[in-house]
Amino acid sequence: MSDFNSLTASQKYSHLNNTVMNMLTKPSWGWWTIFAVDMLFLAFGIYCFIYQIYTGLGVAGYSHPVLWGVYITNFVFWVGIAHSGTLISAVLFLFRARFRMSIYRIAEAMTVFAVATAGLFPIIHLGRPWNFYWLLPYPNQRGLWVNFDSPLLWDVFAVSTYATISSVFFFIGMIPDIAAIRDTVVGKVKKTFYSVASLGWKGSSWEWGHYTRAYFYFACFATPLVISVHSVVSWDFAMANTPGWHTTIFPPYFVAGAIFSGLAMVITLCIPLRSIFKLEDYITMENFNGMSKMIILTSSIVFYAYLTEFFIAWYSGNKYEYDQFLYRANGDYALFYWIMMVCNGIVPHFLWWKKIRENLKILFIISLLINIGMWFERFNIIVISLAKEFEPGSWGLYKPSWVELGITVGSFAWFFMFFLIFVRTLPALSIAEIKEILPVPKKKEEGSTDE
Amino acid sequence: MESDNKKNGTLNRRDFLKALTAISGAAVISSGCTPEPLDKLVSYAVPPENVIPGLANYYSTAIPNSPAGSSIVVKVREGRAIKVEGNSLDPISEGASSAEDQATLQTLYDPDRIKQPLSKNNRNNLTAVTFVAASDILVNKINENPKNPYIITNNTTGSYDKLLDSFANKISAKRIKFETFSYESIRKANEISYGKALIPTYHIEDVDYLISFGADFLETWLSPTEYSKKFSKMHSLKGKNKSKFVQVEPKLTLTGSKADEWVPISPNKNLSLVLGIINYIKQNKLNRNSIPNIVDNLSYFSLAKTSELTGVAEDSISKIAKEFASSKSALAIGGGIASDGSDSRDTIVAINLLNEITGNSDKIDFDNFLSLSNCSDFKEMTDFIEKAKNGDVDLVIVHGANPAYNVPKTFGFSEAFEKIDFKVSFSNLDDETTKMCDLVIPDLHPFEKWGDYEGVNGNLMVIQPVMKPLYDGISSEEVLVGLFNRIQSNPDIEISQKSFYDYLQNSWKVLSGSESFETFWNKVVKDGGLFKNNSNYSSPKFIANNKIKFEIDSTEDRLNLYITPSYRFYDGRSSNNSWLQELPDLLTTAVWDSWIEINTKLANKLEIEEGDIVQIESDFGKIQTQAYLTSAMRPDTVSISLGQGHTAMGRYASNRGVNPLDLLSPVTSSDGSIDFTSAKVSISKTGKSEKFVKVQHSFSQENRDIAQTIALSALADHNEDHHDDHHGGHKEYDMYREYDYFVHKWGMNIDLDKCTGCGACVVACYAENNIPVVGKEQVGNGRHMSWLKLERFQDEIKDELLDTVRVDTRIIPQLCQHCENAPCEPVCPVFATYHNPEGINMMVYSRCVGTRYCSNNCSYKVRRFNWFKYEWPEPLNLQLNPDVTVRSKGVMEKCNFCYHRIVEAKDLAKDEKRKLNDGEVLTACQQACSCDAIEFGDLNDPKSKVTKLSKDKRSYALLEELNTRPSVSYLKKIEWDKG
Repeated sequence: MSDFNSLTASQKYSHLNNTVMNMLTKPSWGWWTIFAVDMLFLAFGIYCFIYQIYTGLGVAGYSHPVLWGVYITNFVFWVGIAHSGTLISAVLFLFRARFRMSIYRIAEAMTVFAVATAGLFPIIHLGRPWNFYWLLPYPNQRGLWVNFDSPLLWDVFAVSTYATISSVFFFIGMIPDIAAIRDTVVGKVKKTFYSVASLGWKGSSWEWGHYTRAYFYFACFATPLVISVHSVVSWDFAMANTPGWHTTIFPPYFVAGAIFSGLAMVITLCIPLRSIFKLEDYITMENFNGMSKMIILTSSIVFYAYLTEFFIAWYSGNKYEYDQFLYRANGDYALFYWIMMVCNGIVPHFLWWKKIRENLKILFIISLLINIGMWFERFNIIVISLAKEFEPGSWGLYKPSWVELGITVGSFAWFFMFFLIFVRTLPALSIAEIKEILPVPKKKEEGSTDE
Repeated sequence: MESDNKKNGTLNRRDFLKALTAISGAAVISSGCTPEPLDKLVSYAVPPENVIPGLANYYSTAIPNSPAGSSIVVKVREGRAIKVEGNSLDPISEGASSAEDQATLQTLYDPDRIKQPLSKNNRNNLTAVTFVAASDILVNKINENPKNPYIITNNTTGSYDKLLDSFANKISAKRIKFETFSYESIRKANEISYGKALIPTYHIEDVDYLISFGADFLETWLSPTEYSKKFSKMHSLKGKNKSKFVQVEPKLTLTGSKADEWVPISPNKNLSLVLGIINYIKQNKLNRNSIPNIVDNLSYFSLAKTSELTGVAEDSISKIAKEFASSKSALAIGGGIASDGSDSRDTIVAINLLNEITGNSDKIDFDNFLSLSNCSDFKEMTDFIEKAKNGDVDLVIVHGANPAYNVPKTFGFSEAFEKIDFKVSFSNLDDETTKMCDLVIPDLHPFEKWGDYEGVNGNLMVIQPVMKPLYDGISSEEVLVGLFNRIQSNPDIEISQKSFYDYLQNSWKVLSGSESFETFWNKVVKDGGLFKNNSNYSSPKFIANNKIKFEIDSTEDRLNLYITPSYRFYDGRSSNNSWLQELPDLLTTAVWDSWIEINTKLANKLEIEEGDIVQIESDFGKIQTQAYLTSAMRPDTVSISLGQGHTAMGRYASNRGVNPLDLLSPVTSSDGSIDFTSAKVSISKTGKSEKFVKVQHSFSQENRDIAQTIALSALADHNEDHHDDHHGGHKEYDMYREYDYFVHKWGMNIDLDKCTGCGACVVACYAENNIPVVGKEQVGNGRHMSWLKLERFQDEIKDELLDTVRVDTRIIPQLCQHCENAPCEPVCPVFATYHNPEGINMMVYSRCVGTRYCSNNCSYKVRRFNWFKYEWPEPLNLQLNPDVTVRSKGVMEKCNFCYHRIVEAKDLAKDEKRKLNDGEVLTACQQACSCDAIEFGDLNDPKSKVTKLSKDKRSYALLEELNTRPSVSYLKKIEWDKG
C-alpha cells in the first residue's frame, strides 16, 4: 500500500472503498480469540456486579469516610474519554481541520461506547441499584419528585443528553457510508441490515444538500455539549464543600482533562487498528501530529490547573485546603499523586519533538501513560479529598477491593466489546468525508480505468 | 341514591370496583415491589391485660451489675424488654445509667444463653434434662452428705444472700462471695484507720480539691455511675470558680483524662508519694489536725527522697501538698485495683491519714457503706483451692462467679476445681467455670425474675420480672427454695415459704411499718425499691490502731504490668455482649480485642510499632497481644485491660484477646488480697503484625479546634458583648431565606466540661435506634455504625524546658449536628434527606437509593451507610425498638434526635391538651448520661434550658466557619490555668 500516492485518483477512490469493505469481511480467528477473551473479562465483571448486588455494597473497599471510590473514578474517566469524539467530529468539523477526516469515525464510536460504559457506573455504585430510576423525573404513582438542587441530578441530564446527541450524530454521519456498504455487501441478512440502517439513502444531490446542512447543525448542537457535560460532571465535586473539591477551577480543568484523556484514548485505539487493517494510507502522520499537538495543549492546561490548585491552597489561607494539598503530595496516596503528575504533566511534553510524535511505538506508550495518569487524576481528586476532610477524628483510608477491580476490568471489556463489533460491522473510516480530500477523478481518467 | 346505599350498608357497583382496585393494587405493590417480603402481623386472640400494642410499659427493677448495682426502669413493648433507663427515684444514680446497664438487654437476649438444665451423662457429655430431673440430681447429691460442700457466688445481697446463708447452713456448706475486685485493701485499711472494716461512700460532690491515687472512679472503682454524677456536680463551674481534680496513676485512664492535673507514677509508688505529701504538710505545718504517730521515720520522705522514689517532680509534690492542705474542702481517695500492690492496705491507711490531718475525714461515709464490704477475703478462695486440690471437697455450687477465669491462673483454681466430685453451676452462660461442671441449672436473667439488691447499705432495690422468661426457665432462687425442704441434713433449718417470691415478700415485711404490706409492697415494686438519701451520715473517728509499714521494693529492671479493669467488661463478666465489644475503648478506640499499651519512647527503643504482636512474659506465664503506643503513660510500665481472653462463655467473648491475669504471681499482697501488680514483665517482638482495629485513626486535632477549651481566667474576663461579636453567626451575609420554624426548633447542647466519655450514651443509642453491630473485621474496614461517636483527641504538647510531653486529652461526642444549612440536604438527588419543619435533618430510609453523596458532603462525617444486610442473631432481634425502622442494606442512616421520642411526647401533650414542656423530650443519649452533659430541647423557646446554654459564654459550634449553622452546640471544656 505504500505506493498509494502513485495510484490514480480513480484508483484511490476504489481503494478506499475496498479498504473499508475489507474490514467488514468475515472475522478471522484472531478477532474471535480477542473477542472471546474480552467476553470472559466482561462475564467476570458481571459476576462481580451480581455478587455486589446480592451481598451489599460492603464487598467494595469503601471505608468511612471515603464513600466514593473506583466506581465514580471510572465514571468520570469514561465520561472524559467520551469527550474527544465529539470534539474531533463536531468542533474540528466546524473549524475545518483536515486531520480529523480519517479518524473522526473511530473517535465518535469511542465516544458512544465510552458514554455507554460511563453510564453504568452511577448505577453500579448505588447502594440500591435496583431503584436507580428514582433519579428520573417523571410523573409517577409514588408521588415523589427529584431534587433539582442536586448535582447528581444534573449529571443524569448531562450524561443522558450527551449520550443521545453523540449517538445521533454518530449515526447520521454514517448514513452515506452505510449506503455504500449496502450496495456492495452480499448475503441476505447483511443486505437487509444495511438497507434498513441506510434509511433508503440514494446519494442524490438533493439528499446531499440536506445531509450536509443537517450534519452542520448537529455539529453546532454538539459543540457546546463538549464543554457542558464535563463541566456538569465536575460540579459533582465543585458544588460540594469538601476541601479539594470545592473549587471554581474545576469545570475548565475537567473539560481540558477530558479532551486530553479522550485524545490519548483515540491514539491508543488508532495505532493498533491502523496496523491491523493496514490503514496507513488514510490514518497518516498528519493525524497523529495533529492529535499530539492538541495533547500538548491540553496537557499544559491540566498541568497548569494542578499547579494553580496548589497555589490557591497556599494563597487562600484556607487551612483545610492547605492541609489537603500537602496531604495529596506526601500523604498515604502520594504515589498515585506523583503518577498523575508525571503522566499528565511531564510525559506529554516529550511530544514537542517531532521524532517522538512520529514514532508510533513511543506515541502508543505515551498515550497509555496518559490514560493511566488521567484515571489516577480522578482517583486522587475523589479519594484523597474524602480521606482527610474537615474533621480529623473521622479520617480514614480506602483501598479498592477485588470486586471493584473486577467491575473496572469488566467495564473495559464492555467498552472493547462494542468496539470490536463496531470495526467488523460499521465503516470505521468515513468513506464520504475522506473522498472529499482525495483528488476528484477526471472523466478522461475514468475512461482509461475501464480499459 | 348513593347516600341511601351507604345508609343501608350496601355497596354500589362503583364503590365495589373502587375498593377492588385499591385492594388488588395494594396487594401488587406489597407483594411485587418490595425487595423483602413483608411478615404477617397476627393480632391477639385474647389480648393480655395492660398491653396496648404500640404503647410501651415501663417497669422498675434492678440489675446486680458491677459493682454497686443499678436501679433501673425497663421499657417493655408488647411483652419484650427493649430499653433500659436509669431510675430517677434512685438517689444514687438519679436516673443515669452506665454503658453496662444499657447493654444488659444483650445479656437478656444473649444468643448463647443456656436454655435448659444440662447434666453430665456417662459419656461425660452435658445433655439436656428437665428442671425437675436436675433438681432431683442435685438433691440426691446433697443427701449423700458430701464432704466440705462449698457455695461460690459473686457479691450477693438482700434476700437471696439470706437464702443462700440458710441454704449453706442447711447443707453445712461454706460460702465464698468472690469478687475479682472486692477492694479488700480498702476494707482492711479502714479497719485500721477507723475501726470499720467497710467500703465507705466518699462524698466527693462538695470538695474543692480531689486527688485520686489510682482510683478510676469514672470507670469501675466502687460505684462509677454514682461517682460520675458526683464528679459532675463537684467539677462543674460554680460562679467563677471550679474545683480541681488531680489524678495520680501509671497510665492515663478515662478518669485521668478528666483530671486538671495528671501525675504519672509507677504502680506501687503511691505509698511513697502519699507519705511524701504528709511529710511536706507536717514540715510546713499545713495540717489542721494533729498528726498521729503511725508512720515510723516519716521524715525519710523528704521532697527529694519522695521524688527519687516516685519519679514525680519535687515541685509537683509540694504543689499538690500545698493545694491539698490549703483547700477549704479536699479529699484524697485511692485503692484503684491496679495501682497498689503488696502495700495497698498501707497506702490507703496513709491516704486516710492524709485526709485526717487536713481535716477532711468527714467526707468519708461509713453509714452508707457498699455491700461489696461483705465479700469474702481472697484467703477463703485460696483455702478452698487448697482443700479441693487435696480432694477434700465433694460438692461445689457456683452462681454468678466465674473463678476459673477470674482467679489468676497461678493459684491453680481450675486444677483444684476439676478434682471436686460434683460441681454445679447456676450460670446461664457456658463460661469457663460452667464448662467444668457436672450439672448446669441455668438461672433467669434479672429481667425475668423476682429478687432484691442492696448495693449501698440501706438503699434497697426490688428486682421484678419485666417480661415472661424467654426460655420457660426457673430462677436459681426458686430452685433453691424448691430444694430446701427436700434436703435431709439439718432438719431444724427450714423455710416456711413455698416460693422465693413469698420468701422475698416475707423479708420485706419488717420494712413496711404502719402501712399495710400490700400497699407498701406495691409502692416499692412500682418505685423500684426503698431508697435512702445518702446525704445524711456521721463522720468517722480516726483511731489508727496500727502502724504503716513501708518497704522499698527491690529495684527491678523489668517492666511493671498495670492491669486495668475494663469499663466495658468490668472483670470479664460482660464480655459476651456485642454492644460492649463494639463500644470503642475510649482512649484507644479499639474494639473486639485485647492490646498492650506501651509508652511511645519505650516502643521506639524496642522498635515496636502499633499493631505488632508482642510477647509479654512474666515468671509465671506469657501471653501475646497487639501493641498500642501512647505517650500518656510511664515508660517503665505496660498496661493491659482486663475482660478479654475468655476460652468459653459464648460467641462474642470466647477466643478473643488475652487475659492478663495469666501473668500474675501466686503471691498475694500483704493483706491477703489479689496483688494485681505482682508481675514484672519483659516484652519482645514476635515479628508478626496485624492491623490494629480501632474506630478513630487520627488523634490530633490538627489545630482545627474541634474540641475546644477555655481557661478559667479567660472565662471570667469573657463578657457578653464580646461573646456576641464572634458567636453571633453570619446572618447578615446569608444569600438564602431563613427557615421558618413555626412551632419547634430542636437543638442540643453538650457540655464538654461535664462529659467524661464513659460511653453510656453510645450504647443507649445502639439500643434505642436499632444500630447494628458489625464485628471486628468490618470495624477494621471503617464500617462502624454508631450514630454517636465519642471522639478523643490527644495532642502532645512538648515542654521544651523539662523535655517532657504533656498529652492534652479532649473528648467530644460527635453526632449529627442537624445543621440549618445542612450540606447533606441539597446534594441528595431523591430528597431522602431533608430539613423538617422542626429543624431536624431527617432521613427517609425507604427513599434512599444510596448515592452516599450526603456523607461525602457532611462536614462532620456523622452519617453511616448500611454496607450489608445486618443480622441480629436470634433472640437478639427481640430487643429491636419497634418505633425505629430497621434499615436495609444500601441506605444511609444517622442520628435523628430520637424523633420517635419527640413524636411520642407531642402526641401525649396533644392528648392532654397542653403545650410540650421543656425537658419533656429526652433523647436516648441524654437520658443515659450520668454526668448531665447533654441537654436537649426547643431552641424556639427562649426560656428553654438548651436555648440558654447555647447562648452561654462557653458555647460554640463545630467548624463554625463553614456556616453550616448546627443545631448542636458545645460548651468548651474549662481548663485550669497553667502554673
